[in-house]
Amino acid sequence: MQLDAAMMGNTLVIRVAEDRIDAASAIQFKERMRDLIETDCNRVILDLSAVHFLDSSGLGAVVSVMKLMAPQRRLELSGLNSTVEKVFRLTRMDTIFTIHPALAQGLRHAG
Amino acid sequence: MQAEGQGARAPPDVLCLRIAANPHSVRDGLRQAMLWAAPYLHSEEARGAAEIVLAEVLNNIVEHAYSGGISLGNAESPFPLPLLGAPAVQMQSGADEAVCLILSPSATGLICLVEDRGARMHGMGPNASAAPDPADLPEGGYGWPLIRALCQDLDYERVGALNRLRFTLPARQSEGCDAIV
Repeated sequence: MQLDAAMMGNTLVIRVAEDRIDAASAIQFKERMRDLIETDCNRVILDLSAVHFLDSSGLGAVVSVMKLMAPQRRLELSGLNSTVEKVFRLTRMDTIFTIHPALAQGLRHAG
Repeated sequence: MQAEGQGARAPPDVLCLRIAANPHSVRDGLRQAMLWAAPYLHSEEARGAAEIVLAEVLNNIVEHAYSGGISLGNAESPFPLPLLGAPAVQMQSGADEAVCLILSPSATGLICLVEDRGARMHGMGPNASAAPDPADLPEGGYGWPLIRALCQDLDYERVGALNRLRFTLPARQSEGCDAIV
């Protein structure tokens, strides 16, 4: 599970460099994210633009990371493709996360 | 084997996959199934929905039906194949085969039959379990609600030691599908 992290101002941007977050990779994802979000920052944006597919295990892992960051920080998402967006919409998790169409909009967003 | 590039559309036939009960085999099986299924699903939307349904169905089996380990009564012939009277296309095999997935085209999409020899799906059937409340930040429980939202004609039955799930993956997914509540 390759996750590329970079600070952009006070925002930690984590790009998932994999095409899937699924039952086979959810635990790895969660463990890598747990380490990365230790970074001192105001905001965290998870860029999912390379992710073509996310199942409910992947969704559960993203939710668990959100919970690890609470209550001080929230996890923001960007770059969801139509299938990934569908999973968030059908489960109504799109009401819980701040979702930016693309990373650029997320970085402009005041948080 | 399913041939590719032999015309605009593959001829009607049947795909049969046997998938070992672990997440990596599910991922491989899913890739093969979607490669085969793509010509029968008429939009990116429909293909995405089909992949979600198949992933959730297979993951449910691995995580719940087989959560107590695999115990095949008859290891030599775990499934009564071929079930649809058509020659089986065996793309995956191994000693620990545990899930049988069969896809066949219909007028409206793909008919799917999934069988396993795991535990009865108590409380996990297609008519059980409401969608979790997102405000509770649940980390699971989305599988069946997603399956119900994205497929048609869902039917689960326990046949002897078999779990048998049937459903249809629509060739055209209606746009703007609402939440699963």
